[in-house]
Amino acid sequence: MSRARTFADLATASEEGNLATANIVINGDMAIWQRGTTSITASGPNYFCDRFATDHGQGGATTSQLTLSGSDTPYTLGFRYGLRMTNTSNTTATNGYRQLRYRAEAQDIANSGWNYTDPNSFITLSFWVKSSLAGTYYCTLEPDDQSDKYAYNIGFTLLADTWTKVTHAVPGHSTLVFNNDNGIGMSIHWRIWLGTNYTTSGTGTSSWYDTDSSSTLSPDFLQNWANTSSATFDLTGFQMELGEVATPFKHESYGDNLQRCQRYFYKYISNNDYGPLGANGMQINTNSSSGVMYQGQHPITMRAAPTMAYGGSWNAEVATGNGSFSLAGSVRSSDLFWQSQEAIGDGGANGYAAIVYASGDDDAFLSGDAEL
Amino acid sequence: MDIKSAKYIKDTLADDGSHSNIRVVLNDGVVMAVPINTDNSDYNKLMKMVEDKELTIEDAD
Repeated sequence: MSRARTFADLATASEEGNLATANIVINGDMAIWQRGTTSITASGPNYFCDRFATDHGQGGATTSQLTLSGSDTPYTLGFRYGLRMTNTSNTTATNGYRQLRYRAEAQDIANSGWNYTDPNSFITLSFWVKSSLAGTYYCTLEPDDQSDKYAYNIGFTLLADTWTKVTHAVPGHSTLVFNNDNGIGMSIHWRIWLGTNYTTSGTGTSSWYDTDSSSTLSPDFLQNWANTSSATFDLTGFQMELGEVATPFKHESYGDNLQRCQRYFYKYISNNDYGPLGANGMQINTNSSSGVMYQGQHPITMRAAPTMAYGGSWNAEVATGNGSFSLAGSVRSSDLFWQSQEAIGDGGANGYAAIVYASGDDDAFLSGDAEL
Repeated sequence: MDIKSAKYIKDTLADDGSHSNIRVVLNDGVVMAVPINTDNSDYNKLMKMVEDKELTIEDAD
């Protein structure tokens, strides 16, 4: 790109107020992996890298963390990780599929500044992608809130084993609706491969189309990624911003990125044989029939009341003894707090304080999940 | 979710017969407390599984 073109793009972006626009996408650089980095083989959709889900049907596929190195173009631009799907069992089934997914919260789009019912107003997507198999792939936008479902396909053609930056300005459309709430606003799928149950040869790209009337998710796939042994598909550096121009990726500090992710999911890991359960103290409440009430606060206000989960071995201790902690009683959660009310083995008189800690298990964890 | 068991849990604070959550035990040993709340995607998944007759949620004690 020439310097003149760069300056022209920047001027356009500035006129549109785009230079200061935040990335609507959270964890687009895939730096946060709170669920761990153990590869996922289950069909899904399963969240893995924070905010990104992996999904496949028929045959087999594994999704793993991709560590970038100096030979990867995105590395030179400040990206250190990506998401990789690897085909592990071939299929040509008509109901087979391989895809990655990101979901944006509705109010984040409603408040982004995108006048989404105006075809002259744009959001621009950009991402880095690489496949071991040359061919055409699709990125599909699926708004969730309107009753008459529309979608928008972005086709991109890749050379084998070559990082490519895809950028595409998506116009508004009169039918689009994004509620100003905490629900699903838009799903963005990277369609690595779909069987013909989900495709139609005439499905358009670069335009909004009515999925209710066409009953199709994308055009037919001319490459056969899902029938190619050990094929890989890599993704990183995903940005979605207001305006018609893709600006450089807005990098964040690890801490800022983590906090944005924790609106949707957080995980406390003891990381010590006798580590604490959470960042906040637990208190005993006085309830003789149900024992101890624990209360904790989520790291930040979450999108919605989360599913609380625990794994490993935890111990609960009061002044008079100890027992297990197991989320076995009433568990209530709101967007900011959670409570668990349960009996413990040795009980405790009213008013005693209680604490919870890992019981010789440095992998024990507690998580809150309010993903879309 | 690779579910081993699912059971409604009574809300012992409310003590009015209402449920506080669904206790789900996964086959890998992880225990989940899913809130009765349609804003929660796990709750919606469980309800879909029940509707599709892929899951039975045990009544509360």
